[in-house]
Amino acid sequence: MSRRSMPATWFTDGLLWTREGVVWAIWRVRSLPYGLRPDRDKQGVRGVHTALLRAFQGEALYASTVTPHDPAQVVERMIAGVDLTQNPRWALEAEARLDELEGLPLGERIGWIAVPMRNTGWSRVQEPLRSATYDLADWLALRRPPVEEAAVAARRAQADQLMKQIPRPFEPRPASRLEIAWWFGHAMNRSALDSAAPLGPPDDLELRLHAGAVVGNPVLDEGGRSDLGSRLAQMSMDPLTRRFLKITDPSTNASSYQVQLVVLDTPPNGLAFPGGEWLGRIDESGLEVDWAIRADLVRREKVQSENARALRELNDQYDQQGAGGLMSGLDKNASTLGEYAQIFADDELEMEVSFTNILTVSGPTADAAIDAGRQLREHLGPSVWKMKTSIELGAQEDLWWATLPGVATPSVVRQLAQVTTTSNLAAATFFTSTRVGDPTGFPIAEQVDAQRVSMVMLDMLAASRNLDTAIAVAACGELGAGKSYFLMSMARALLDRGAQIIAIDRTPVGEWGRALAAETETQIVDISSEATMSMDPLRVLPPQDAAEVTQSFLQVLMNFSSSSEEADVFSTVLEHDYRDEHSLHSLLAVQQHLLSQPEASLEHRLGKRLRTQSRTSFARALFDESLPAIDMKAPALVFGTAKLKLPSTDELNTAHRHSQMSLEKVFGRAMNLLVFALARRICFADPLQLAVLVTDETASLTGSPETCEECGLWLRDGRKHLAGLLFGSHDAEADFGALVEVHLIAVRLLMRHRDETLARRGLAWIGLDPEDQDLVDVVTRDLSPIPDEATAPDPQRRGEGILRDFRNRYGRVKVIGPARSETERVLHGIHKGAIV
Amino acid sequence: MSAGRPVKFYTRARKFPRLLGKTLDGRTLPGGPYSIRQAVVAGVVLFVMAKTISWWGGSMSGVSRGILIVAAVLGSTVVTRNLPTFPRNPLSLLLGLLRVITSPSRGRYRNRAITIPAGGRVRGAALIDDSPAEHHRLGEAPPPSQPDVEPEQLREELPFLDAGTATAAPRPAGVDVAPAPTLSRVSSLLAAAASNTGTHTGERDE
Repeated sequence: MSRRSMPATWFTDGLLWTREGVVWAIWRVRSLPYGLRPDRDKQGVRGVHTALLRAFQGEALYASTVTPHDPAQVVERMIAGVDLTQNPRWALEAEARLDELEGLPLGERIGWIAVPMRNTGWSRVQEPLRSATYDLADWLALRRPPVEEAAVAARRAQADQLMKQIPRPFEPRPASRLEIAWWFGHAMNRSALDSAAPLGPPDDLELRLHAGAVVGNPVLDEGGRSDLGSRLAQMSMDPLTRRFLKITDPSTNASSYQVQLVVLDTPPNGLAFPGGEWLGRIDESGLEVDWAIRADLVRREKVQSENARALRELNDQYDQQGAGGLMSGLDKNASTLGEYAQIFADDELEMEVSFTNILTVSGPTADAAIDAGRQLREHLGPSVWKMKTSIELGAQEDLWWATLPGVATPSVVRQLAQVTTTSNLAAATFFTSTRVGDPTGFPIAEQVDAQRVSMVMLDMLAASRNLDTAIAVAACGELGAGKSYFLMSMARALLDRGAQIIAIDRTPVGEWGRALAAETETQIVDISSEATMSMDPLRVLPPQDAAEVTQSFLQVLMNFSSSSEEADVFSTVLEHDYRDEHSLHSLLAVQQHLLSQPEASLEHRLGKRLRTQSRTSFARALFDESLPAIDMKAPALVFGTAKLKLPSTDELNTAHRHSQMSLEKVFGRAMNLLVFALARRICFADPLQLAVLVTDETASLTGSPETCEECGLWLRDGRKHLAGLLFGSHDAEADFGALVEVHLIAVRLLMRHRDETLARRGLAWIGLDPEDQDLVDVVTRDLSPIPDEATAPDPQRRGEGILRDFRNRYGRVKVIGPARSETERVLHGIHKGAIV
Repeated sequence: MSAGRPVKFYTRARKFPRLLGKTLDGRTLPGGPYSIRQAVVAGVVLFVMAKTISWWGGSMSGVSRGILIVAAVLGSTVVTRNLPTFPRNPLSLLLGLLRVITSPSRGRYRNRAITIPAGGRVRGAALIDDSPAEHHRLGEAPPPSQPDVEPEQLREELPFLDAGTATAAPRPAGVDVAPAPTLSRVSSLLAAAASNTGTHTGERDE
């Protein structure tokens, strides 16, 4: 049984030289999106994993580590690309976020592949010679000579060739030297002084790390004898109850206790797929588990000869054991062999992989580690997976080494190896994740992955630029599920980052005004008799837009067709030069101008009709010249439309009901269109300024054909003008059904719907299978669930939802609000009493 | 693609117990079949019993010696019959167990057991010119009995040493005495006392 010390002698980006004269290539890989996918997609992910397992002839190490994040790293991602001198509120928010993240277990799971590379030609002599030189240098306490440039270049080329064999969806890249150093450090410090992984490749340093200097040798103590104190206690130690490895990092003096668990068999009847992803779903164990697979790919020809040999030996054993009555055991072997041979007969591409799957759990004390090991065994074994596992006695150290690159497979690891086909091992779908969100941007939610919290960021600008989608986000959920809170906190973040926000507020108490007004210059147009600002398009918009917008507004308000005489009249009156000539700079002026025309004329009659409309109580925001006009450049603009009555779809589509529509509804419909048209002009005005329209009631935008058309236009063209949309909806099908361009809304959040029909509609809208009863149950019962005896959900579980991100990945998230107490208090105050 | 099949490991297709139930000429072995492990253990038992016969069988008759040997050999095959073979072979298990039992009491570093040499008083003295000009440096000089740099380094490298019984490390010859200014009899006595106190403190920690 071998005993080991640090195998690495020298490493650089993506390459690691070892004491044994073997050079390893090391890559970081991306996890494939897997969460909540339909079965077809899952088969695809399994297929890609199968291809990965077939990529390397011979040995390979696949590993995944749970990586702590530094709050500062998260905040850096939050402020990337934002000019903080221009946006001091965002700087404050970032600072507050940093404080809030402190103490949270932040982190994520990251994937690694490491492969020992073959020595060819001259390197067959050179590498063993080098490692001997290093040993000698170490013995003489001399500096190890660095690996020469030419050798590094040759190895890099060799590694690049190998990297091409990794299926592209994994987006492999050579692990940076800092990342490799981190990996070793992490292995020594699990549950102890573990540090955050470096964010990416280091930028400039010409730093060539000498492994010995950077990565220290750990002090290893299997069974934790050094904790036992007296010699008597050490002598009477029961090794069976102390199956763990105590690792002390000499550089920190911190001890980590780790338990290595080996998977020995599937349940007798196998695992189903999808569903049997024991590694892909390892985080469901509720433990922080790192895993590694030491795999050895076996060629097809060899598999067949091995199978033939096994068959011969099995036949011989039938003969030998015939007398002993052990036949039933052999029958099992024989049927397994038969099944296995059949797979290779059926599938000409299938290959065999002999692998050892090691799972590592840890704890700050021996008892904690033993307990974690027991829980993991329970999870993989009796309680969930029914797999056969073991925590091997006397092999903990070798198994620990086997999870690291640069280490030749220890013999005990070979003994524990299991044999299966590549596609069967691929069913573990080990490199998958349910993480969503962008690398930078503003945090909108948190996600719990691998027992660690990660911030879900959205970067609307980068995403729309790179991925050709509209700058649009939609949330759907029942009343009180938390979508308004989500939209408000997102609008608030955008505002603080320097975007302009236009809100259509349909709440009677003016929630949006309050949410946006804190610390910001916010202009509020309350479309009612209490209006304090005017939104008269002739006063607000530049002349060329004003005529067009006013014309379409009046057309809906006074119900004439675009080819009618009335249209001609307004077209003339609203024309720029004409208005200049007659000083018609407001709607009221236009109305008075029309009334001043001869009484019998069409103009006069139109003037009278306009006067009738202007006398309704809501019309103040349009016809009262004493009110100041809104400023199109205000950072935040809120249109309060709560008092507007909108016609139902039925009233719009049925001719006789249309003609009988009440004046209020006619006015409401026209105003709604006007608000939307104004918002579009404001948001589209400056192609360098991000401006976002937000509405909690999508129905008010998509409910009528005119606004629905505007909405579509916005989704198609908004990207070029940096114009974004945020929607909230109670019923996805009713609200988005008429919108052809709905597919351009990439980011969607589905929140709780206790009604099953609405839940199914929501699932279909977000792109998941509405017939999948498990998913329906999640939406109806497991998103911010309301316990039977309570009236509100558990405060800890508020704001849960299924998020689809710009890259079409799905994941369960929990919406978060602003970190700053000033803004958080406002949003919280608004939603107090409501279920957020 | 074996997509429809349940996901399984097929280790059983390759790993099964290889037993010997018949002789080469086809006769059934009595009490068989035997595994190679059983045969090896039986062989070892037979060898050991035969070699130690003078020790245990001094007063026995030849027959009873024979019976005892046969019984021991048969007994060993019975005992070893039901030992698990998979996944690890028993030898590996045994070595693993030995490894844990015999593991060093302070863990292993660079593949070597960590040993901490017992502390000991350093002997020998050197004289340093005690001209008055040096006096003013007394305040900033290290304590006279400070061990040389070597154990310091070791301690830096292995800080856990401090947690245990560690005290002084061995001092290489030639640098036995600290290079601190030796000023007077009184101060060197004080220094010696200080060094002793240091040692005791370490022991008390334990």
